[in-house]
Amino acid sequence: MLVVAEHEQLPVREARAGEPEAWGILLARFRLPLYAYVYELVHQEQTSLDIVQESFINAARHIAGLQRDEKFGSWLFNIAHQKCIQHWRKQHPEEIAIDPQDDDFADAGFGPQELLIRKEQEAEFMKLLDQLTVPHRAVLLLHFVEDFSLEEIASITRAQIGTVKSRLHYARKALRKLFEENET
Amino acid sequence: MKTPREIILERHQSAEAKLAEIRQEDLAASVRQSPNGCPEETVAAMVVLKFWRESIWPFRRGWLGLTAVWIVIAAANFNTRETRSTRAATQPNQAVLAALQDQRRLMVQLLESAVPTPASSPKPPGPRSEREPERFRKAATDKSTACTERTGAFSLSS
Repeated sequence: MLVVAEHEQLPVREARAGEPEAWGILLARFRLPLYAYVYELVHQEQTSLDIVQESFINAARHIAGLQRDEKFGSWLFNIAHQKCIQHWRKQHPEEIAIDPQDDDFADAGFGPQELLIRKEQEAEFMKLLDQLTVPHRAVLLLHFVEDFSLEEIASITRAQIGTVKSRLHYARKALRKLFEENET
Repeated sequence: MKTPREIILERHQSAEAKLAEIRQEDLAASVRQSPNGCPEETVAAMVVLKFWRESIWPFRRGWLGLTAVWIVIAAANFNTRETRSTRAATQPNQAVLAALQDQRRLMVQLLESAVPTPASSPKPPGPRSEREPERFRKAATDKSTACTERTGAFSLSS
């Protein structure tokens, strides 16, 4: 079972010094979640692989500029997210339109570890993810895959915290609706 | 029952083999090649290299000329010092010795002429009989002035 460690010690300082073993650990830790995130946004295998590779190379080139080592994960996802935006701008500029659901909300949802999905619901869950708009999907994936905080999600997607809250709320509401419909 | 994270990651587990093609050595090499991402140990080397590229290499002919001049000066200086010291070690200079002897003689003459004269002894005091009247004279004058002051005071009060 894959669990995200809350305060995991990543060898970021060693990676900054150019140690291959440190990069091996960072690769093993982030390449699959990053790929999953990118793939769920762009839905193209080769593009996703390229974006993940380019993100790691960019991270290696600019790791000297990373000020807080514990933010390596959100920083890496930010690089990948920007590459996804560049890809969308080339492919589907109309998809990253203004989000109509950016209203303030009262948080009454579930955390990424609290939500448990039955085997027969897995396909519906993935289908629901695909049905969400790209900004909502991005926020929900970052929340589910890496359990990033609202501030981290806001910095990755370059959105206001209020907007992130709103998107997360909307995505959770839609997800809950799906599960309620399935149960009845 | 699975968490969303598990479902999402399991869905993409098949991509692991392709993702493994991203090599850690390439990333480490990217860090080393990047001017911003140098390890701390090589920063000093980068500074030296930058100084070499910007300050030394463009003016290499001038620096070479200066270096050659300094080498010539240093060699000449070394040679002259060596000849002086060897000469001094082999032949004692007669003129210098004569001058030293003259100076020593002069010093002796000066010391002889400057023998200090004995200090004049203080004048012995005179006999007591000569000193007494003088003391009495002074006391007498003091008394008379005190008396005149006192009479003046009485006259004022009366």
